[in-house]
Amino acid sequence: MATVNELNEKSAKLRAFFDQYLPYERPEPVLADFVKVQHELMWGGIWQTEDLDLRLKSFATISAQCVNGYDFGIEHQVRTGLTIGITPVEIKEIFIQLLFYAGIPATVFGLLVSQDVINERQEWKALDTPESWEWLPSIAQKLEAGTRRISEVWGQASAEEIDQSLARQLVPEAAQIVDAYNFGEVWRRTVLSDKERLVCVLAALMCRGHMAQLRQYTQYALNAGVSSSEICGVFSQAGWYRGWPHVEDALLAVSDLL
Amino acid sequence: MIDIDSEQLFTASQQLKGFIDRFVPQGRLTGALPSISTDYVKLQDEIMWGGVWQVPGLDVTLRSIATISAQCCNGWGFGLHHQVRVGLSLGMSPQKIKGIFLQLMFYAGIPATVFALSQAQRVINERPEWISEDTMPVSGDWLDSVEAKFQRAQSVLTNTSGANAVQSSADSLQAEFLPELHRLIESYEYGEVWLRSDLSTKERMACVLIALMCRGHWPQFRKHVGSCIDRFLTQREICELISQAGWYRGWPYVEDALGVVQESLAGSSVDG
Repeated sequence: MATVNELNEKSAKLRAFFDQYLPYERPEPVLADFVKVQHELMWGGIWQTEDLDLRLKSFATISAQCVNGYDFGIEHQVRTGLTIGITPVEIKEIFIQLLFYAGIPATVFGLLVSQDVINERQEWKALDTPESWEWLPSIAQKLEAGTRRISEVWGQASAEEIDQSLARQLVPEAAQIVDAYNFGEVWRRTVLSDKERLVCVLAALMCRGHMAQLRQYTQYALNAGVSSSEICGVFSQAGWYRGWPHVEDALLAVSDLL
Repeated sequence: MIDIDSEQLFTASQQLKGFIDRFVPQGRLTGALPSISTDYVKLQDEIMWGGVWQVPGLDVTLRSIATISAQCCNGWGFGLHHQVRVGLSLGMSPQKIKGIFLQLMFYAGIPATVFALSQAQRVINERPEWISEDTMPVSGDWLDSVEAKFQRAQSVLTNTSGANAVQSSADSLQAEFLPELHRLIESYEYGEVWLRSDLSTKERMACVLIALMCRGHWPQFRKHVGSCIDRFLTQREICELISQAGWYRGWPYVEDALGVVQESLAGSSVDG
């Protein structure tokens, strides 16, 4: 067990790094003890666990903040992500991926807030290059490419499960279009790795309480080589930002797979 | 499998957007989106405006009502502005749109509906036609006594939710543990609001269904599906409402909700 001193030391070091581009002075705390817990437990503890690297922790946190929808939270975590070295294009891709898991308004809002943060620094703006992706021309081709990709990375059974979703049976037109663009285009894009995308999606599903789908995606993540401890790391990181009881819910839903 | 090209979805999206965006003022918040991510806008256009909005099986007014209800639960001002404007552009009256939030008061809570009303008014005030229509409020036929409201609520409940609805409400946990408030709320919801002419019963059913879905109240959602299916909404309409609102709330809600619809159908055939 770490001592409080150790937590504080780690926390101070990490905060100095994270806050280097903060465009304002941190205000005087409204409640000093609140900030004390934040410093020791969050920056000194949650952000320091070894199950997930900083970059993946940042993906999980930004995804949780996207679901939360508070502007200051998204702003702060996008700045943290950029400070860690996640590029503006990668940040935007998080919201493009989450379009399919957290809905239009949450992700539009995330993108709007992110752009303001990217514009804070010349270095970030310089990296904010336009996307270039070769889109497949038809829904049929997209669906086929999606199925092929899923079978390769997550296994055949996963591809079948996705093809047999209730949405594909009961709202077939809309669901084919959504799956075509989601799996046949966005998941194939190389801006983010498969693991990074899975971290974002697991965080979003947990934060919205979609436990059955969280279970499916946990299995996909395991099939894709994401480890059990990394998955737990996603839950704890995102759960801290969404509300700690979400961690227990998530573990209850998937612990037998881990 | 549907046989369609991205190009066709894009063309369809531009036609629909040309119509429903014709009153969008310059410089709105989300106007910045194309400069932030062209790929995001492409996905939005082709999947949402060219795809989800144009699937047959549900008329576009009900799609709009489902979307506005989802945005009310979401609570982002820009989302409400945009979708209220879409509703008005489709020809819904300002009073009908306000009626959605009055109905949702009982399902999404006070703050979400107060906020939605205030945002809706801002959009209505954008155009003289909408303002002049807005000056013709729907006046409720308010009864003086709560007892009379309650009596009227019982017959509305029977008419809308079936012969067992009154008994099922009387047997509910709320009736057991919060008897006075349960009676009061039922009196106002079914004895007054439900009878207003701003929305049809079918439209009210759609609002309620979507609010329950967006907030994840699955047992109540299931009950509601059971009481409106094949009476006010077909199975297809319910499924399409779910996919429409799901796109705005988050697509995983669609799978969750359809699972409950299926359980409800299986349950009713066993009961039958």
